[in-house]
Amino acid sequence: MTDDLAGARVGPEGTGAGAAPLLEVRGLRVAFPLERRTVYAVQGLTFEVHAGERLGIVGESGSGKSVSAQSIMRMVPFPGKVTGGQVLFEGRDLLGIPDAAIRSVRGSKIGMVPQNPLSSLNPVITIEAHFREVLSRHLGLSRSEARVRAVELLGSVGIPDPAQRLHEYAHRLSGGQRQRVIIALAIACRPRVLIADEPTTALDVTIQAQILQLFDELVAGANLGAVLITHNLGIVAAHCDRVVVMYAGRVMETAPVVELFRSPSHPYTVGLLRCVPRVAMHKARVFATIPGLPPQVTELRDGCPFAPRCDRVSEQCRRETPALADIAPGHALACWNPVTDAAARAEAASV
Amino acid sequence: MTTVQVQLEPAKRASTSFWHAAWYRYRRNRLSVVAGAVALVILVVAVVAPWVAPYREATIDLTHVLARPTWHHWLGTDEIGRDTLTRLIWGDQTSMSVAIGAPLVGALIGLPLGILGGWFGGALDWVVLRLIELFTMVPTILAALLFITVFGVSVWKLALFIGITLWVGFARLARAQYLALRDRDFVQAARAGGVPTWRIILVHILPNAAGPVIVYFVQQIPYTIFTAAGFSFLGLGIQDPTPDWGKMINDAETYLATDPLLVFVPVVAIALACLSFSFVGDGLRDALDPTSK
Amino acid sequence: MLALRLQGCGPDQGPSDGRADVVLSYLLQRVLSLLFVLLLATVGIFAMMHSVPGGPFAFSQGDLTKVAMHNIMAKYGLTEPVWRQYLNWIWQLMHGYLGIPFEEPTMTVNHLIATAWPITLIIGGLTIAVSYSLGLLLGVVAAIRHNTWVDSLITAVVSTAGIALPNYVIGFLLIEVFAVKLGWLPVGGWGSPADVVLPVIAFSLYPLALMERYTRASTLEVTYADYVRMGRARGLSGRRILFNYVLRTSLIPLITIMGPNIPNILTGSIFIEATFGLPGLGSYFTNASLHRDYPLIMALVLIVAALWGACYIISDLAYAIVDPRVRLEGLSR
Repeated sequence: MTDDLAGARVGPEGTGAGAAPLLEVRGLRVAFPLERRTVYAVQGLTFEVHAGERLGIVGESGSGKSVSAQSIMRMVPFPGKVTGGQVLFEGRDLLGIPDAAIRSVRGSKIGMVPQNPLSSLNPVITIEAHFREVLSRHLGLSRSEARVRAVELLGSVGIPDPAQRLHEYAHRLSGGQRQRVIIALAIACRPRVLIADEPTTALDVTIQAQILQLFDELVAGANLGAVLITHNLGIVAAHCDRVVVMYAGRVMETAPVVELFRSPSHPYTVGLLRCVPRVAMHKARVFATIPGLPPQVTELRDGCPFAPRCDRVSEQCRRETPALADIAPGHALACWNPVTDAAARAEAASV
Repeated sequence: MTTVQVQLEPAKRASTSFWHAAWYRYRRNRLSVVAGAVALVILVVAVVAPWVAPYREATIDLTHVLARPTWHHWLGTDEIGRDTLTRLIWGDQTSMSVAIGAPLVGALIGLPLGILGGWFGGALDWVVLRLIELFTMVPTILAALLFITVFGVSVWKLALFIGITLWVGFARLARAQYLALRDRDFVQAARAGGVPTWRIILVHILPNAAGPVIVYFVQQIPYTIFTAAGFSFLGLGIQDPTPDWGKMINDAETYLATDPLLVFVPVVAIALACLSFSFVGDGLRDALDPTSK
Repeated sequence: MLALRLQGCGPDQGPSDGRADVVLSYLLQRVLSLLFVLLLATVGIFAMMHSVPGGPFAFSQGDLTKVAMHNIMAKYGLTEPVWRQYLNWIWQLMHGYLGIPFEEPTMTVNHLIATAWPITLIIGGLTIAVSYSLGLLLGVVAAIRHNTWVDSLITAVVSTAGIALPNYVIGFLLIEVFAVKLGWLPVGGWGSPADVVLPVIAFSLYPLALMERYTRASTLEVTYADYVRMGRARGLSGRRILFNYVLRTSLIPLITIMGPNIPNILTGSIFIEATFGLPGLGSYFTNASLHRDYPLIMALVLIVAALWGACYIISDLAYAIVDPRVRLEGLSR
């Protein structure tokens, strides 16, 4: 099953074409062996991120987005295990290197911004101590050097009066400020890749916009490769260059963001796009939904995982797993009966 | 989100599903299930002691003193010819009466006080808090000991004395629960709807506070068994002829070298009872009160 | 006792608290409240002891004449009204004098406590040292090795040993094996260093189990916290994560859980002392309450209660100082 997906990698046309990707995930599989069953959370995930590119990974909760991000850093929570695939970063497979080596990649080469800023800072050490420990560990900075750099970093993420804030504890900062501090920590050692896992879900809307703008600035400014995990297609449209649509631990469709919104081809993508609430819909008080819930895959069997919820399902969908294949330059799809109907696309794309 | 599903019907009887979920969580813990079965046997034997004990409670048979196990005396006899199995079974009744009775007394005193303090606050709460402090500082075992020496002892007195020292925990628990729950939306709604205060306290909040209280209750059982047996061990607990596990150990101590079974039987009984109730407590805690550790 | 409040998540409204001032006024409030409750406790116990028939000399001196009895009672001030006796006791107390024990009229209560308490303190102190440190260690190890056989083994053995049997039964079994059968250690009594071994083991098992359980639970809770995950995501070393992220937060709640247990151990277990024949405070308490030895009972209750109160205040204060999220407040809500 790895093979059918591994062949279908898609290069990002237009962004740094030809250059080797910064981060490349190939056929990644993650399984959670539980007491009576095994949950196959990620099944052959493949994507790549180039410098200066913002890759969005979208999907419903439970589609395996967060687990994918965690496995890049080799931080899949117990009892999860990476059971196959590669995570290539600067040519090295991160899944194969020793523990000590991965620790010097974390936070130094790859930075991470978590879902919940409220609980993601150590409550009993000061903000300064957070910076000091990363900067001394990865860059070997002294106490005073670290302080100077921390003030600089806090300033660069838009924290007012940074020198003062260094002595505070996390609980005295607001949610937005905490997320800014976390972002500053993530970029403290000038990483090449930044992974943001639903960085704004816990924040209110005005703060969300500010944080995402900061995210854009940082990626552009440092020519980072960025992975933005979200369930919000509106955020993808505004803050990503390419999109990977995940469902049940697999890639359903991937395309540059404009292409995806112009001609969504997977019925699931079309469904997701329909669900984005729009002003007109608010008035009608009707939310479109995709009927059913995303499955928790507990047995490996052939067939498209979306088949039970798909309105274009055919016999073939239930029998054979569709492989991810290019349908246009940079646009790949895993579907037997893609949406080609212009009307349906247009309705979905009117976001 | 993509699966926005608006539930138009309110969930029917949320409490039913809570207890279902709790039962499901409890069942998953195999140790607690086994412990629950053992505890149940111990409790049932305590209730039916008069019908299952092979001999009458205080039958003394001086012709069979310190007998080894035989068909007549499955677990042998003690130094004055009393059947060990009979004493074990009757002792079960004694121990369980105290073990259940004392937390019951504690709950009956502590819950109302804690509820009043937590719900009404103000001066009432101040008084409750001082009372709690007072009883926290006077060490429980010593207080019970004082009561025993001053007022004498019987099964029910012992349950009462130990119970008086247990109320503090119940009061704290109830107070905290009511403090936390009284500002919740459903309580506010009931108030706004003109539901009488006593009804809010008893019908709306009490079921919500029940989980931690039940857990705490069960957790006190092993402690009570320890303490009661301890007083017997010192010779200050239940007096002859009422059989009691702690006293059985105390009586048999002298014969440990020659008749180890006499000590072994009550020791195993106490250990089984304590372990089973504390594992049941653990299971209940995980099932009913998932937030606490 | 309930004067601590965890601060909510939001940004703090007030200015940084002037720590020293707050601590002082907090201490003052707590100590006053403690004194008030101590007063109540002594009144309560005094009243209870005097409210029931039968006095201290009712048992043994049955053959005394009424006059002789009256003389004895008068000598100890027992003929005066109860409130008067209480005030006398308070008056003595303020001068640091605790009275004469009825049972040993040649000594003072002060003297008696001065000889008995050190024994209890040694046993108790060793018990705390052994059980808390070992419990902490085992709890942390179990939590780090969560879901492995190490965790299962530690948790099963420690908690079973600690909670299955009362400490005096364990003590008595230990005596049987190590003193009577094997003859390695003394059966009981007080005098040589070897005398402490068995009592401390028997006394330690329960607090050890308690400590192990709480440490494990609280460490596990923190192990899966978001900020620990983020610490790892920043590439910090395992040791740094363990000490600065996990233990530094997970051990804080133990202060308030295990702190108040300390006076319990330091004032001795009447059961342990009876089992091992130790002439400590606990054994005096049993005798004193059996014989209605008022001055001794009052003194013992006072010591224990004061120690309790002090430990509560200290552990709350320590909690507030160690955890930056906690702020001290007055006693009233």
